[in-house]
Amino acid sequence: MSHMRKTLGLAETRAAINAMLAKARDMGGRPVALVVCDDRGDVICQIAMAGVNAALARQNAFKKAYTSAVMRIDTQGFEERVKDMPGGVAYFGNPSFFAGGGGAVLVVGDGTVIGGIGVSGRTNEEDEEIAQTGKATLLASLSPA
Amino acid sequence: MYDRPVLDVDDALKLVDAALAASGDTKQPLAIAVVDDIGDWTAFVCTDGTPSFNREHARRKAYTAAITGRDLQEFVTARTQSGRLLADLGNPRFIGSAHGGVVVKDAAGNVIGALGVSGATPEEDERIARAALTAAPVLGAGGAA
Repeated sequence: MSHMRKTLGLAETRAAINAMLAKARDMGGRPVALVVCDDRGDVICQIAMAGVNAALARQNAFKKAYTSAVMRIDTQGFEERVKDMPGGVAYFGNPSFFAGGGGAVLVVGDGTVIGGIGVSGRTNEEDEEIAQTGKATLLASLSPA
Repeated sequence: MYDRPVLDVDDALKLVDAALAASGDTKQPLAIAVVDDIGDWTAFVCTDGTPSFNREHARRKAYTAAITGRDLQEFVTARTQSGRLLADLGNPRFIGSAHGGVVVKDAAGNVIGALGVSGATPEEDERIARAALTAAPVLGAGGAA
């Protein structure tokens, strides 16, 4: 039977992207790529700062957002989950999966996963801090307080 | 060694916002992609409910304009006159559309990226792309007044 599903929209996504860009600049450091995708891994908004690592950042920011959304777990937690699996993250055979900090799953009050955020360009710890800022901003912008 | 002008994320976001404003209809499905001069994504947004078809098209329009260094209209005209097919160019990421893809230049006239719009009619996509360029001219490195 068909039903309606809560789906991530542009307004809250842009709020998160803006907050993360500001956070990345406040922290200072290397340029970063930022991705916010919906629950199926389709990108709603993404930006890359000039000079971002061409080999890694764009791809990894997407992979982190995608992995957290479709596996329904922050990529840091995903790293824990796969660490004892045969072959680690390669076990899944999905080249878009990423295990490590910088990806945050977006879950609303009733437990529905509406998407994921991915940040890449700095250390996993710094990427993670920026991603969590985006997650907090996005979820706060959804609740009418 | 020489200096290469680089598209900045702030300029890319201004272009994206100018395109959304030019559309004037928040209910209009619309995907807007900004890429740098080698076609790597710099900013992307899509309004709520934008089909996957249009998201992919916006990216391909921007990519094609950036790589060829030409607005899509000009690229299609030149290719048609040369008698070559799109497939003859051998790049599977190229798109054949003639509307909604324009190059982004800095104040000195260098192509530093491209803007792709998809979601409305071809003519409307084109109008939105051009309106965005007019509303948010990119000054580029050293070009700021």
